[in-house]
Amino acid sequence: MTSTISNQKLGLPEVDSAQTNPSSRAFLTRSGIEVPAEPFTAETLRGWDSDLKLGEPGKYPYTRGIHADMYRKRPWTIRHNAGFGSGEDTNALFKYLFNSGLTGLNLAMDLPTQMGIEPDDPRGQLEVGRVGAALSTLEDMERLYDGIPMDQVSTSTAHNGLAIVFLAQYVLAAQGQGVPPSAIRGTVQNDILKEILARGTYIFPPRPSVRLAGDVIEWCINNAPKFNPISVSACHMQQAGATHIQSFAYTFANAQVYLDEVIRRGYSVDQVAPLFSFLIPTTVYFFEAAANHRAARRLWASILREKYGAKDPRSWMFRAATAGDQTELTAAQPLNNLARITLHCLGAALGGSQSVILAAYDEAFDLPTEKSFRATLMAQNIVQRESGVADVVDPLAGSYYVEWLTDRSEQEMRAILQKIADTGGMVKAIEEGIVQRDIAHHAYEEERSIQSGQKVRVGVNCLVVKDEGGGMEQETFNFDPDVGRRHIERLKEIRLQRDQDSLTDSLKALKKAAADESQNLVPHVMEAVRCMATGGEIAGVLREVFGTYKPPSGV
Amino acid sequence: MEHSRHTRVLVAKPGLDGHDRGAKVIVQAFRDAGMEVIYTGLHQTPQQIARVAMQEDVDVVGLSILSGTHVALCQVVMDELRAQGLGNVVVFVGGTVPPKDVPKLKAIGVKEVFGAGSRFDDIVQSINTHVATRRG
Repeated sequence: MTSTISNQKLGLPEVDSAQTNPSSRAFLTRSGIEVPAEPFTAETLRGWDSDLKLGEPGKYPYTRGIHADMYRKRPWTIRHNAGFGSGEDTNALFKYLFNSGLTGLNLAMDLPTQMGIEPDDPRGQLEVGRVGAALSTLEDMERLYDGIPMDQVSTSTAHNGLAIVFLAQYVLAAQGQGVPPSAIRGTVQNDILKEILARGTYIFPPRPSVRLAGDVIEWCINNAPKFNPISVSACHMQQAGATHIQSFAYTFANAQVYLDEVIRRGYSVDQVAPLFSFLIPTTVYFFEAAANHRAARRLWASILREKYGAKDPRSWMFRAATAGDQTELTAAQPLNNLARITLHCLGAALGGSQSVILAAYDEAFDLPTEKSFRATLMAQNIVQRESGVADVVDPLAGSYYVEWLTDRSEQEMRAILQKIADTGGMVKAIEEGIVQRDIAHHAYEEERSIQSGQKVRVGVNCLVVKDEGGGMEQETFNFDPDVGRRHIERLKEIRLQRDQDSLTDSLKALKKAAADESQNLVPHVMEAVRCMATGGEIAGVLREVFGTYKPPSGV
Repeated sequence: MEHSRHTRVLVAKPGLDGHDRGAKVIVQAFRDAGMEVIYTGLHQTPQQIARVAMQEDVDVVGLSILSGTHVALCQVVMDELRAQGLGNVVVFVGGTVPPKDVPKLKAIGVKEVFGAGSRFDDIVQSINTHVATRRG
């Protein structure tokens, strides 16, 4: 029987004939590379040497992946960002995730914790526990991991300006469980330069910030070899407006600043580089997501081997987690975002990511609901377990188009890196605001191309459903407004119970060490954390020595 | 004369949220629409925002918030603006705002809320209408 339900009845949009005529539109990748009309053929790759450009999977230059058998033996880790309220609130959530078999926990922290602002400071009190867990003191971290064996989980967290405080709290909480630093696993983002460029939770100026990042890396080299002390992040730069290719190039520029900072202290590149991991964006334009990831692996391997003279293959490997791009998701027709999330996952899988973390379809409104969170989890499982994409190593290898795009992408990344070197290096380019302005301008251009219809967003600039009831029927996350008050009350009790003398001494010693550039601050921060200093107090001491970052004005 | 001057807009980022793509995009869109725009940068307190609004004699304050704290933050910003005698400045909000919170924001004096996907033309037109009403 034929269904005769009209478009009207289903709430389907009328198809706009202008949108179905492609002759007038430009054919551009997400990064704006023009895709030629002529079919890609063997001629496209004339002179292209697969031994040189690809090699074998798991071998230099790693274009095909960092492991020989990739997902056949090691499926990518499915990760989720989680955390809210106090350490206790998040503990319940983590226990649930841990007991469901997730051993890779992504810990989200609230903004006062990330910014080193006391929860009861007027600047912070509205935001306590809102976008992540409030972890002011060691006690909060201990509550967070209560009953969760810290030698069995791997925790990843986006702590940057005060990554050093997170490390100290995490190490001490683990020690409290009898787990030594050498056994802790996980990743702290610790990438302050991209905070200044894109994500905004910066505290100190770039140079002392880079020193703090270096301190964390150096301490982990010597004490916590299974812990990734840095995850240099491209995805926030794409979200702030950089092109997909720019976001990789800026990331490589940032990564080299941190690498140089630690090598300068007398470490060999092969002691430092294997600890580096990356967080990269994916895109709905999944061919480009895959091509750029492949190009990035080849470029990073080449930078490490050719420029830094690294000998250890682990130094050459570009290990990356991939994150979804929320800026490609739309508030209009939110369920459409499930299709986009699936394409994000496909791009990450075809690129050869080690772990994948995706957004939920309703993130244009608030934190995910349980329903949207689960839908993302299942979408990722469908790509990994049903589609067959994980059955073959680097399935796009040898495609005329993808190899052309991979080469083109590597050239563009190299050109951007050269431009940054020519302006005097990344720290200078950031201090002068050059990169920030490029990102902001591109964000505006991209938005204009969406509003003009040049760049298609289904449901936004074509196939628009006129009457959506203003989205009022959209179910969204419900936040318990009382978590902040509870956290602040607990903190006030902790403050009264602390040994004031040892606390004061530890903060004085930290301040003295901060003024001496030859000192690694991790042991000093650790001592303060042991004395129940809050992240805000530690940041306060460091602000007195380092000052606060004032971004260059102007958009 | 007052009627012919360019609309002056303060785009502000209250709170600790560091996502400023939307703020920086709208600053450029307003400039291209012929408005005079001041951008505060990140991490501004409501007091700082009200002070700048006063000093710069703006017609409009646009608040960009993606941290979920929009209702509480906007309440404080509105209080501070009123304390400065700026209760009739046109306030609008952009960012990550669930539809259920839009009536709450309007109840505390926010004129319009523009979430993801809002068109520049619509925002500019809405501002022009509200500013014209304010100037009488």
